[in-house]
Amino acid sequence: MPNITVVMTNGQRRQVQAAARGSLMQALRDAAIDDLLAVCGGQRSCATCHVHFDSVEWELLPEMSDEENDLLDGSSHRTSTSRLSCQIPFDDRLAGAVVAIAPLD
Amino acid sequence: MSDTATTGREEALAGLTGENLFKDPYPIYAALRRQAPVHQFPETGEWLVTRWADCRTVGANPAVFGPSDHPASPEARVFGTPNILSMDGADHACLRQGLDMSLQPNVVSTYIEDLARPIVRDYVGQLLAKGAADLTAALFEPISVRVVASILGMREVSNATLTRWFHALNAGMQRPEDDGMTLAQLNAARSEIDAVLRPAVERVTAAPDRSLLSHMVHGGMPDGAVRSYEQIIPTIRVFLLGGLQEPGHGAANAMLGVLQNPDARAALIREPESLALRAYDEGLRWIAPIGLTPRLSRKEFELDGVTIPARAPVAVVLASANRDEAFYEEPDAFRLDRKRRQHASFGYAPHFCSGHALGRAIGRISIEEAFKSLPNLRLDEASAPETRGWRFRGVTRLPAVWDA
Repeated sequence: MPNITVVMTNGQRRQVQAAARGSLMQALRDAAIDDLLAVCGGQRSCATCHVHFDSVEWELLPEMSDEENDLLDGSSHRTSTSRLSCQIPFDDRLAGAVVAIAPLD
Repeated sequence: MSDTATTGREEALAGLTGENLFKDPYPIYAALRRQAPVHQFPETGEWLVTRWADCRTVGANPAVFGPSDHPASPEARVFGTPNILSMDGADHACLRQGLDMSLQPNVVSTYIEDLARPIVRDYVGQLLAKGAADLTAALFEPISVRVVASILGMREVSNATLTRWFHALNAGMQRPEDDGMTLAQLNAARSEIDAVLRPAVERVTAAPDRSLLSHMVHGGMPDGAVRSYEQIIPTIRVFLLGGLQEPGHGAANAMLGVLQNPDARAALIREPESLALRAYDEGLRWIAPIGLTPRLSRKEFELDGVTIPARAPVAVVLASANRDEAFYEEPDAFRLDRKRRQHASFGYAPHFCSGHALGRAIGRISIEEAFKSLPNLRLDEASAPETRGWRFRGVTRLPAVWDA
């Protein structure tokens, strides 16, 4: 059961622990983190589940698709650690990760 | 409020009629965004929410703004309830699981090229020698109808029939309830739909297949359980209108934007393959085919200093959010070189458009093939295009010419 730290848009930190299943986006929504809008519901079709990975073993994450890359390009808050959380499986590879919710565009 | 502000507000509201919205809603939306961004529209009783940020606040907040099952809404009248747009919670998630079996992006990408490309090439091929056509009626509507009917599992129903159905549903949605002619056409279409769909649903109930109709009956259900015809017909009507018509209108809207804009047109002629999807997406933003998404407030909510009461119908005006000057530069212009940003045309989870990947694929292939095959494609200067509607808006006539 991975345990991660979430940094909200107002800077507050929260621990989220959940069973390993589904996507990081789903785990954050299930934890009632409403800062993360996830407007398309996890279909890689918007960029409102955008997060910054402040601490994670980067190479363990799945590779970014062209479509995800393109969607992130539309955000003014993109950094070198940006990902769409709907594209990241919520499993043990995330244990100990620090994930910051990106501000909305 | 100062006198000047009061006057500005009154002027903004003076133009707010269903008739004006049907002709061209955009100047009215711009005035509402400035003067009355949360405003109850007397003709339908709905609270119109018109700013980008407010639309997102309402649309993406299902805890406060649930789906609309308001019996007086045009959607309830035309589709019937409960339908996928009016449903909520576990029932919605369960039916949505069925729809997603045909429509999720990774599923669509497995079949769309083999299904849509030949259909598009066939229609473009039939036009080639003519040198002129209304691209909405001769190309984009029939492509959309054929592709979506195949996915639904209704290959045997003719284009003429399907098109007549969605025109009747569309008119029922947009015209006043007491318009007798529209109502008669709507009821006639609903009877025809029943006569064809009931046996089709009975067939896939007995023998499941891979059609969307079959997924609506069986998808997400526990073993042995099925949804009845009565349970799914309102959602089928949503698809007959939103599914059959809207990908075509999206393509027509984008094509008008491209053909009116010399730089965009030159770019599409040069690089149809790489730019078709971008053009389609910008077309969706510029003229949202589905102009609003209805919600119902579960409790009182304050927005921009206005109190929306509990149990009030709220219209999230997607078409207006897409033209909000606070979110887009030059929002009224169709621009192919626009920095990619989200648009609101597909709505918000959990009601984010289930057909978005399919619609975008149909649009991309249609626009790409039109520019590849119709040399020097341009607007017909002798005949004006026509764009109509507000709840649903599309370029309903798009006369174009090319070198035959």
